[in-house]
Amino acid sequence: MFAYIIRRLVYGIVTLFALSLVVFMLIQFSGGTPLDRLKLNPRMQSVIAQLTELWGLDKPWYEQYFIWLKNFVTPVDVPDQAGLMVIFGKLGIRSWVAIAAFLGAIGYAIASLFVKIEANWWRTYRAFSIIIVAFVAFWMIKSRIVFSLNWGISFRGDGPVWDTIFGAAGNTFRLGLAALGLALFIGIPLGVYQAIKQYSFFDQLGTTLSFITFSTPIFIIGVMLQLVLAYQLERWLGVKIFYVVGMTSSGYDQLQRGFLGLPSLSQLGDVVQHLALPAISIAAISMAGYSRFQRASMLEVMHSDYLRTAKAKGLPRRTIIVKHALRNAMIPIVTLVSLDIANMIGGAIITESIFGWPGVGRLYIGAIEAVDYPTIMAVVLAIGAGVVMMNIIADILYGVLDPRVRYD
Amino acid sequence: MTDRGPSDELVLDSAEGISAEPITQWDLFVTRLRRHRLATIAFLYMLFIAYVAMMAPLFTCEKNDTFCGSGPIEMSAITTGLMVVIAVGAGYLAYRSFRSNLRGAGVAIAFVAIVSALFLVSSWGWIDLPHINHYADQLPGDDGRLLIRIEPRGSIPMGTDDLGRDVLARVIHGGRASLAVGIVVGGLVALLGTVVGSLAGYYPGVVDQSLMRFTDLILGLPLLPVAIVVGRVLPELRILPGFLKQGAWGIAVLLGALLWGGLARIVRAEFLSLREKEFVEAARAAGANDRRIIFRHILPNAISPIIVQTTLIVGTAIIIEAALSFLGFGVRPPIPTWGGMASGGAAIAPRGDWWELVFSAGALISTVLAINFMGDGLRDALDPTQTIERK
Repeated sequence: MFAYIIRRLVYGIVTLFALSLVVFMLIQFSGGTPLDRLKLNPRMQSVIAQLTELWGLDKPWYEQYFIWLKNFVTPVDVPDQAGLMVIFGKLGIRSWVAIAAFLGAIGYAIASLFVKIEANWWRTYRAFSIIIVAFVAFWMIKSRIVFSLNWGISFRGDGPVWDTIFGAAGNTFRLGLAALGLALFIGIPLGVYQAIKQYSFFDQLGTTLSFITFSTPIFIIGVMLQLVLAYQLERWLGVKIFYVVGMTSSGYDQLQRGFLGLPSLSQLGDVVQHLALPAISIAAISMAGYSRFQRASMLEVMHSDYLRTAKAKGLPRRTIIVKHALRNAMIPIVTLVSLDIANMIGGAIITESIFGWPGVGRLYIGAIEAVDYPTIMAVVLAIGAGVVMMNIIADILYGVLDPRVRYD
Repeated sequence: MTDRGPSDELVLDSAEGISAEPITQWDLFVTRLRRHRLATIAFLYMLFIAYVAMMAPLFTCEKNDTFCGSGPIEMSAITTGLMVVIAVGAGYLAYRSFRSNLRGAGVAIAFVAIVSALFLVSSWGWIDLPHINHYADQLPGDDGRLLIRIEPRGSIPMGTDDLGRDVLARVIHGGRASLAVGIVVGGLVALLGTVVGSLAGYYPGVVDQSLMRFTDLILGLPLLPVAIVVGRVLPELRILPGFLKQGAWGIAVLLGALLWGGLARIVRAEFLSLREKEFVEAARAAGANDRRIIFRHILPNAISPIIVQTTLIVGTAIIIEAALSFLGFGVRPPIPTWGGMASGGAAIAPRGDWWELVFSAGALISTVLAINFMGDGLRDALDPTQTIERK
């Protein structure tokens, strides 16, 4: 198992390497040098010499690639004034809560090495601790506490690529988590219900609708949602319910402040009004996929022998469905979801550019339009790393949940 | 369903009597496909779309076009009618040979190949015409004003867009990009996936390992970001021949090169299991060489998943091409595509001008839906374990 993970990681790194090489070559061969485009931007005149030296822009492309690669993996020294103590001194209450949770999560990890606790709350905490560790690790990398790499400076004048990307990634996480939650909490119950009421009107309707949604491009879903739920609804009701652009209203900070640095109810409402439409449009296709898959998997389980046994010994229908059928029927879904996250990233690129969401996808589109290659390379590798990680996690989960699968 | 044809003889109980003519795999396939009502409709719909897209210059006229000016209606009506006769005749011949015997399958495939080739040749022309502007017939209108953003009405059934171009004409022309992408990607994926998958599945060891690692590499690439980058730089790439830079061809080749990984895995799995079967062993014992075993014994048995997977990939490819065009990195604006039109329509739709968006999106969704239904029907029809019972 361990050897398998290591091997997959090595393949993943090779994939990312090939990816960076292909994208770099494409940009290099596309007529002109990055410097030509840079000269058009009057703001960048002063840094051209600096960038030429940093990226070796006057050298042949393969040398440029190796210079880029060397820079990309070179850590930058953390400046003295941004030392740990200074940063901790500036932390808000939210960050302290996060750090406390982080320490708790690490404490849990250590404790679990020695003690085996079977309590339910403990299991729940284990799941949460993973998420908390991920978030705090993300925050620490973002604010350059631990380390940061020399990813260069944007050719569009957006400042250091490292800061731009991690700023945008937080926004994409917000959108992605909302979409994933929607897809899971609507798609899976829908599939289960369809399986229970097989061949009913609702089942037929659901199957047809999910087939149609599955064949609809995501940009059409997004644009249609904007038209119907934002523009048309506002015309009918006279009140703005959903917003079509941005993450918050411009007057967000003037709204009533919340307690302990957390957003207040009115602020939360504003966030939801902005989040709803893009999240739905990303979630719709996944939702259709999950419900179809869940229906098929549920039906397969419901026709199995052990379920007939459960029925025969007189268990209540609810117990049969929830405890016996659902648990086994959820196993294939886990793999599907982790593989589907790669698709969601693609969907997020399109959705963010439709809804003006300041995430990684929109950053990528903007960088591509300007052929801003430090940003393009960094974003492509970040997305590629996400896809590779998700594929590995899917394979591992598949084995963990289904003991018949063996790794060799 | 009065004309069920002789292929229904196959449901005869074999204990009662002997059916009049031999029943081939193709008969079973066609019978099953016809039973799948939606798939049949989808198949006909796709034929219609392909025909309209192929003959687009005949259905739509450009202003100041000499061909159109010299009696456009008669000319295009005659040519169109001729084409319809040829297409229907060829289709009927193919249909009859489909039902008669296995050799007919060859004729049918040849027919499809001819249609595809015709389509490719006829699409070739518009690569050199980057500025097709299909204006509505009555530009400017009777009152002397430009026909910009006209609502759908009698002579302009789908309205006009921001620049006064006829939406119907552009929807018809827009199908060409989607279908070109579909056909090229389907062909490339079927070819690459089958070759790589069968080599990897038939020759274990070094060949298998190296090919599958390469496949893993391709499958690991994030599809949309790479496609966007390629779409952006495609017109500027110095190393490419001219025809790949504009229009849908470069996008199609790109998508074909990125999408074959899944099919290769499936074909390899089929080959791995079929290689160990008794009939292959028998062929080997009879002295058949590798080429004969692969092409005569294993590949025909592995053809079903190849057909189904390729069909589904075509749908995916059309969606991705449309998404690229929507974002502005696919086929560039003067050339009409459904994705590009949806983008233009979305810009004017908030003002209440819904038609460009709705018609282009409708064409796109219905086409992809039809392809997916076809895939569904083919999967059911090609599955030999399915029993046929009289309904």
